Amino acid sequence: MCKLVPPLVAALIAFAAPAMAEDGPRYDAGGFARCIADAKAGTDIDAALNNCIGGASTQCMATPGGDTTVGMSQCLESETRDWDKLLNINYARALKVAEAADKELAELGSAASPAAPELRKAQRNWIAFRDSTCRYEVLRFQGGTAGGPAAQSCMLELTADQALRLGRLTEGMEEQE
Amino acid sequence: MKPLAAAGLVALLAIPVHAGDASGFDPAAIDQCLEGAVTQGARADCADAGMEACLTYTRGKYTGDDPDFPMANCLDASHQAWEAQLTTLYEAALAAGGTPEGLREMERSWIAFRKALCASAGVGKEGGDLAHARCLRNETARQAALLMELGPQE
Repeated sequence: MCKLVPPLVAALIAFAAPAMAEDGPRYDAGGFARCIADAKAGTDIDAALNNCIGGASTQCMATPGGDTTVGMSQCLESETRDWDKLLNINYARALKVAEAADKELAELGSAASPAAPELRKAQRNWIAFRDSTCRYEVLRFQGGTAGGPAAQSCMLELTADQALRLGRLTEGMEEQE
Repeated sequence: MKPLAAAGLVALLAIPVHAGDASGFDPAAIDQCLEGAVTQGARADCADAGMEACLTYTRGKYTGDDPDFPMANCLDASHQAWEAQLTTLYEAALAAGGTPEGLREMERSWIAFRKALCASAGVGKEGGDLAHARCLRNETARQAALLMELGPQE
């Protein structure tokens, strides 16, 4: 999509962005990145990473405009996007480690079933799990206006959970190398 | 379970019961941890509750030569205890009514996810069997924590 936007239009959009940002809540992507970096530098990494879930969107909701349904939705969406980026990085990394291990095993003539296809299947199955879980979560709130934010916050939490899970998977694999 | 581990388990069964069942794992340790946990993350972190006591007990009693046996034994017992937790939560949620089909669909998709995820864990690596067992146990604990969070609000 971005490729279709002429440079001049892109520049105008960029200029317009600060003004637009004032209308909505402020999401601090740097705060998200800091939370992850600080967690990784600490001692109890897993617990600290878990504590990052929901932090940036909660702060965003405390900025002007963040307490409306639309504002909340924007904040949740922004943090979900950040977790989704991390998920993709961690998934690619885990897949690379799995593929390397599979190749090594194949060269040794091992009969063990390869890990990479299972990991791909796991990620596909996770999407079905995420969707059915958040559908169930919304059904529990049916009739209420909380349906929107409830679904979004469910997506955020499960996406974060999967990003961290895939991250741990690679840690474990690297430790064993 | 590997034949060696199974043989070891039979050996353990003959030993006087310490706490919980013959594996030396006390499921009450999980309940205790859950009581003190207030967030979903903290509940999922209870996955390892009771493991240390089980490992100490198993190491003290096991006379075989499989270094992985104590961990395999305790992970298996811990996994079973979490399955029991999950079953209780699942049945309570079903009994609470609401959207049983939605809940069933969620559990079905979770089982498919866990199966593939844990099949990919530790394949062909040293300690791969333990990684697989740990994955099953951890994911079951995580799902129990999730169901507790989603559970019927009283």
